[in-house]
Amino acid sequence: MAGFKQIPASSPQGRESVYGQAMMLLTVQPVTRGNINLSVQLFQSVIDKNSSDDLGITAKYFLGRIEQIYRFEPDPARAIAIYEDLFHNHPEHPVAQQAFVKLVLLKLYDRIPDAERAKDFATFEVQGAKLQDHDAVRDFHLVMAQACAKFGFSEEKRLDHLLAADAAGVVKDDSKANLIVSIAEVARKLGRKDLALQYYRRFLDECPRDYRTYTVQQRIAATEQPAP
Amino acid sequence: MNREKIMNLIGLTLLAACFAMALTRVFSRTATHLGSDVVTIRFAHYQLESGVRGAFDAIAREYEKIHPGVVVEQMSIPENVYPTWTVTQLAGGTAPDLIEYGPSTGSDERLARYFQPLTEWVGSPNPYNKGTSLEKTPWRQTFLDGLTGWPNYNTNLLEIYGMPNTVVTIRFFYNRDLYRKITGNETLPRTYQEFIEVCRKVEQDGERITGHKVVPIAGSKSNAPRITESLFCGQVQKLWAQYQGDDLRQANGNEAVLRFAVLKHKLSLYDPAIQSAYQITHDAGQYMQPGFMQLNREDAVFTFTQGNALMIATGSYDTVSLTSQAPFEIGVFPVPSPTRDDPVYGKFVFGPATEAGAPTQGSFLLYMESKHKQQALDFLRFMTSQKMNALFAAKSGWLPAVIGVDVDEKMKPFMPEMDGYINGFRPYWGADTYRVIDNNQYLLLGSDGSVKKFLDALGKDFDAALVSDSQSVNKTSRNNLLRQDIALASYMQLSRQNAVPAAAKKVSELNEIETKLELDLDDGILEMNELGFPPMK
Repeated sequence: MAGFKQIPASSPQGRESVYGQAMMLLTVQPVTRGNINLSVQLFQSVIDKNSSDDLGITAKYFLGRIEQIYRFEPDPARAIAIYEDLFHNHPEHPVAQQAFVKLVLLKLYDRIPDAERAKDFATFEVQGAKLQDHDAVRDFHLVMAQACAKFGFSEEKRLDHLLAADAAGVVKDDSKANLIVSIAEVARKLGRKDLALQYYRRFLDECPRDYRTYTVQQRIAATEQPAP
Repeated sequence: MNREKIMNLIGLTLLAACFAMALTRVFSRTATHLGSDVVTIRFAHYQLESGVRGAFDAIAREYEKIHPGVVVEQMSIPENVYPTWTVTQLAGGTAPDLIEYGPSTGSDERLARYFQPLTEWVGSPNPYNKGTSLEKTPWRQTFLDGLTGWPNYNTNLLEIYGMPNTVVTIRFFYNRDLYRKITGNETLPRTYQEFIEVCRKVEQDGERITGHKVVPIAGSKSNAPRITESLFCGQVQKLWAQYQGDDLRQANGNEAVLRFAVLKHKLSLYDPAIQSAYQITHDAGQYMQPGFMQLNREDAVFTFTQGNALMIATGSYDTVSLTSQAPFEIGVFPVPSPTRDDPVYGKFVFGPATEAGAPTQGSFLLYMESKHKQQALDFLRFMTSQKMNALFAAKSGWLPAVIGVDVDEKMKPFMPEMDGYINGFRPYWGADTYRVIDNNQYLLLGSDGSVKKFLDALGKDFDAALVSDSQSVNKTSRNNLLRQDIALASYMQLSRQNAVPAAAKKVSELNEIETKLELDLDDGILEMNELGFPPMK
């Protein structure tokens, strides 16, 4: 914190140091309302100087995060408004695209009527097709696939989103194992035997010591059997 | 001078002598290390079992041979003081460079605060495996379980923290002489019903044949769950399959779905499968000595080694200790769980559970504030290399954790059984539910206990515990998310400035982690909202 404060706000690195101070204030223990509010002010000052460059967009993103998870009383509606604004004004920026993923999560997991959730889901499918950033594409499809399972949306759509997440590429080993098994299982349930077998076998190749290995072997044997 | 004064004088003299000795040790230790260029790596553990300290010592000496400027010190801490000792060292900033994972180190809060995630290094080969079959294998994949589970991989923080030395499997150790004497042969039980027959035989004829009281199984609060939890999990295999999701996840670490199912009255503890699981737990408890849940591990071992129990269920790590203490020959067999054709308990099971992914343990964590972090990491690599893990296994009598290490003939019965079904859940879904169950356990396991008495007693306390556990999990998820968020912000900035080559990859990982954490958190908040419990502040 002291390091950031030593850099004058008027110097070339000044704006960045203000951004650093704002972030650091969120980590200072104990967390206080005062520090959170001060952090908001500092992020806002970064945005006020330029709201369209990398730092300005990232500062705005963290304003959304503060409203979503840092505040003692989170304000999801305020966070949604910030994320919507970011994605609307900077749809091609990776951070704004990640904000869109947060927005999708917040809206789908809000306590709303099923019909409204289904409508939101359909809207997000259209908007999500425009995402380009690798992380945002992957995370968007993971969220949408999970929403299909959680809220009982179409299994075909679930499979499409799982496959899209796989195509984007997950980076964590355990996430990868879970994703491969999920694709195989959903494909099997939808009667897409070839796809199921392809992913079951890929699982055995890539995760040979996983606790699901024997179960997957059994699934392969059952799937390969001709229908009676 | 009266007797009391003499005793006081002796006491004071002893105290002064101890203080002087302690001072001498502290100063001599400081004198040894200050002003020298020697780097000292300290690692602490609580494995006082026969052979283990010798094994660690041998590895330390091997390391010193190839690193002349490094001294490796082993700190063996008794198990009963290990949690307090560890917490004190961590809080005081005096912790050793490497600490074995233990009950006091495992909370998300402590892991995140005091220990270095090792994830960024596990994707590259371990240089100490050069010239072996694992030369090109990423460090993570050199372990039998690929570090996919507890305690090495933390499912909440989504990071690898521990590097293990052994695999632990649970087996029944039995007194071979006693077994032959009581049953008339040494035909081991292959099914659950055959196992129960052996237990009944011991109860009916044990005392008459041996001339003293013999219990079938030596139980204690740490040994009994080795059997009962395994049997419980088997009974709820099919039930768990309804909740595990399309990724076929294991129950351990994913209990939230069960908590909410019970709170929403979609699942009841009176479900036939759960009742059956508690019934088999009750049955197994009847073959242990009365009051076993009040006894410690040492009591159970004593009962067994004195020939007062035919069997004891414990981990592979106890092999050397038990064989060296017991004045009789010891045999080993797997815990026989019911199969589908079991006439009483076959209805709810798929079959024997897999031991693939059996936790690799004896895991060391890297202290975040270590003054010699890189050196300690290097020693950790050395310790878990194929060659050193072979040395460890040979000297400790424990199973190896690393692929390709030969297993001694007498340890082969302990090798994990890879073929088997995904197990069901344990009966504990959080700290408060654990407490409620534990407080009422006597109603299940006591001689006049029953499943009905036990389940009836849980009542509203259990639901309240489920609520508080769910709130705690949501709070923990939120705290984990906050930590990841700060790390993400830092890496985003580094990535933007191209200051750290791996920063972009780290940003991608952290985004993926955050998405998973937020899915769990938002799901938990939604579920609690629907139940009428707003998020905790």
